[in-house]
Amino acid sequence: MTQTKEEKIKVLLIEDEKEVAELYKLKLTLDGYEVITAENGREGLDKANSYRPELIFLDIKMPEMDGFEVLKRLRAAARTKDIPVVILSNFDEQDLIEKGLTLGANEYLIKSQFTPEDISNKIKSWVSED
Amino acid sequence: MSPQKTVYKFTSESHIGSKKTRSISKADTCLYQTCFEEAPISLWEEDFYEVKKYFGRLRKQGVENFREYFETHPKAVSKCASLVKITRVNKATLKFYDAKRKKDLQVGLNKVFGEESYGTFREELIALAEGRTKFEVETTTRTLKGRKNYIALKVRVASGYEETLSKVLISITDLTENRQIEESLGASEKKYSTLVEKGNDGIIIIQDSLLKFVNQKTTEITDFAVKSAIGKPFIDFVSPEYKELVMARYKKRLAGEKVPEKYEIELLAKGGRKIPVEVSASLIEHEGRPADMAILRDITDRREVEKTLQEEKGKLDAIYKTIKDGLALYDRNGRVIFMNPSLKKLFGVKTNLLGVERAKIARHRRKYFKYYLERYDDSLETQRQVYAGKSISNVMMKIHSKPARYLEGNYVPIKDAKNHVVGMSASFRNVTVLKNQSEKIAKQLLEMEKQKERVQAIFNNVEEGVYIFDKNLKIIQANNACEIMADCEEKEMIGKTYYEIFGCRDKVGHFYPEFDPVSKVITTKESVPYDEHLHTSKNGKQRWVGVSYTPIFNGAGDIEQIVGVVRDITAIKELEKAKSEFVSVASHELRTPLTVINGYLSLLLSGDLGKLGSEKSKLTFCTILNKVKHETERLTKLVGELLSVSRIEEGRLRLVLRKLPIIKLVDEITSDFKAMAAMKGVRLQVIHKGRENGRNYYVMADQDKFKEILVNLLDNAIKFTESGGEIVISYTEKKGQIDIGVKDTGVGIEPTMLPRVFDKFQQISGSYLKENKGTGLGLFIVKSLVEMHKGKIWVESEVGAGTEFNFSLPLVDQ
Repeated sequence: MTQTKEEKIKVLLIEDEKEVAELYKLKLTLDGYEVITAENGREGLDKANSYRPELIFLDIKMPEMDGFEVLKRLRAAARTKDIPVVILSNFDEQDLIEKGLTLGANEYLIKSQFTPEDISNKIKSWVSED
Repeated sequence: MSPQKTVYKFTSESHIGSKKTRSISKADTCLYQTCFEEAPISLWEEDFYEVKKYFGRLRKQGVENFREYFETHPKAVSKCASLVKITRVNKATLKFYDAKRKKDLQVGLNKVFGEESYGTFREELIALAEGRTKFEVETTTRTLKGRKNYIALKVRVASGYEETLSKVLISITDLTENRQIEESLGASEKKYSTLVEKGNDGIIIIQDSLLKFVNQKTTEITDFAVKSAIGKPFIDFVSPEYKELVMARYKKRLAGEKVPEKYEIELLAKGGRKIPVEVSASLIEHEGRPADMAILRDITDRREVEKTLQEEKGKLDAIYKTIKDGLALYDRNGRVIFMNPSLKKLFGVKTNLLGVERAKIARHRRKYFKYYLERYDDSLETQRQVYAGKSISNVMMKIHSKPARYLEGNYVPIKDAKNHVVGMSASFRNVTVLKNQSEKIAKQLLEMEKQKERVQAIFNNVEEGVYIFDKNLKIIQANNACEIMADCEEKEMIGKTYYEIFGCRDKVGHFYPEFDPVSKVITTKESVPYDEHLHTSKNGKQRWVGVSYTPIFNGAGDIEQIVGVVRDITAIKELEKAKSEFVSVASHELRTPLTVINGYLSLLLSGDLGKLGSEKSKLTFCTILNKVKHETERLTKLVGELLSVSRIEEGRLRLVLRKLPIIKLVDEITSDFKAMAAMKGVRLQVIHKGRENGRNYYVMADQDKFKEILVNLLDNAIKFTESGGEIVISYTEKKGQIDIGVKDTGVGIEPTMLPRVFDKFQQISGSYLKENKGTGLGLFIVKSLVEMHKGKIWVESEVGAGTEFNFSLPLVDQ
């Protein structure tokens, strides 16, 4: 799974839980992805614009701006509207899942049900979707 | 009339007056007694000695004029009557007074004669009182059987008894015969014309079968002129059916045989008309020879009445056996002339009522009826009105039989052809069943009325809105709760449909007409037991309501009305929402450390750990374990706090209250944090505002819970205060309570967040450091615990300057 520096896929991880972000970053870095982290929605939106990552992992419950708002704005801007967004949240309410998918998320994953490895393994499928 | 009766003449002088000497020979006495006893006239010996003494007493009292006195003092007359002793009466007296034994008459004068004789007796007294020894008067008297006699009364004081009055002789001669003759045929012209010519009865005298005398009235009855009748055979004027009978009786009477004194026949009036008359005939002497005198009374009216009553009776007879109603018929005088068996049964008639006056029955009901009769009218007044021509109906009466009976009486006057009331008919219907039923119904109605009131009270006061719709889904009634929920008065709602009152949608979001629960009841004929709708009132206020709609069917099984019960469940809904949000947030919070733990463990298990070293990562195996441990602790704490919250909210958290020395306790807890604060470079100090008297204060508290409160506050303070900052714990005693403050110089809390810091899972976002993040439940628990200790907690904060939490607890005596 190791990738060369030129081929490295840029992944933006928008996650306010420091421990969680650290965990995912560790695994994805080990698997050869270039991981950019943002610890709140606003920072995430900025970094999505400036880095234009190939994939965005988005948390829902965050200070400053929640994940749904970030998603709405990503989808509304031409520069970011086509970037695949995978929602990573520990909320599993059906209405939230539906809301996320309606707003244009490619997938809605419940964090505690997926190991970092599961997530890392799925990155290629999301990136290659387009 | 019997003219043969001898009238004896009695001359008192011949017997009594001749005995002038005081000493009477034995032979004389004997003769006197025989004469006295056998005399054909009534003789009395009376002793007035007591009366004489009474006169003396009256004189002493100043009475001079005895006439005046006795005329004005009837009681004195009565008294004198009682003072007179009847010492002897003769045989003739017995007969004359219809007495069986002499004893019956010797009871005393007052008992023998009636009131009407008092006048005579009074005159007698006056005469005696005035010293007269003779008194004579013609008067009337009644026998013991009440027969009236005309008499000549003669009173003589026996000679030699003038002073004592102890022997007074009285003779009574019967004048009845004389008087009757005088009265009927008229000794005087006046009496004659009054009685014979102007009387109401026809009078005729027949001699040798020819009419010798005919009075005016007779011609009025028969229409024949007097002249055309005199000298004619009387039988010509008798209707053919009666000729034989009348002739037979006439002959018999002349022959001295006994014939009925009164009987009814028909006369033949002018033009062949038949007139019913009552005849009373008797023998008289006319012009020196026997003749027959007949008194004729026209009974046409009576016949008419009898005929009418007979008809009524006939009608009643026909039905009386079959009918259950009691029936009675009364004659002109209110006498019962008919009654049927049902009446006897209904009233419990004991004795024969026929011929008895109704008024008498009313006075002596107990005598005639087995059961007590309670009437709700004035019985005699009712009768009076009926005889005045009015029908009286629906007279209620209660027969106190067991069980009691209720009768309804109807009284109708019976009228003859001339519309004169000649009697009364009465019918009595047993209305017990009806009455009981109507009472029952009345009771039920009353009960229903009460029920209605109760229902109305409930209707108006229940928390639930109750709508009543007609079958066209229009509101016909809405209670107070409806008014509140719809922001609309009942009168505005009447006649409108449900959906005109407010916006209404179901849980899924369907609006009317797509969503129409009331119509659904009509179409399905089934109730909607429960559903939840969102109502939006005209003022725009939204309410979640729990509703049920129930159809009310009429007798034919069609829906007549629909009752809609609407309950405001907004608060419940909000609570539910909060609860599910809490569960959602709590799960989320639990999953976060689990995600981290699970993630690292999977990294370790997948062998990624080996790569860590080669990548020269800062992360060591030990670091990862520390992270896992840290997350586990966080999880443990969270679970504990969730349990606390749950217990607090369900009221299951129990305090073990003890008297605690509060200052000592605060000092102990604070000192445990000194090391932790020092590590972070934060100064921790305790100060006592106010008196530094070293005195201890006591509170009733649960030691562990008190510790939890303070630990939480200190933990937060240290977490949110950066190195170089300061935390001050203070306590202030005032008015029986102690305030404990924890003040830091940390980041502070944004004003908008301040009111919500004690809520569950409220994030104090953006103003705290990531590494210090708490569970979001701590302050909620702290506040709950303080309040459970009857205390208060409040917070002041300024962003960048710091935060101060204060809580107060009531002090107890040392």
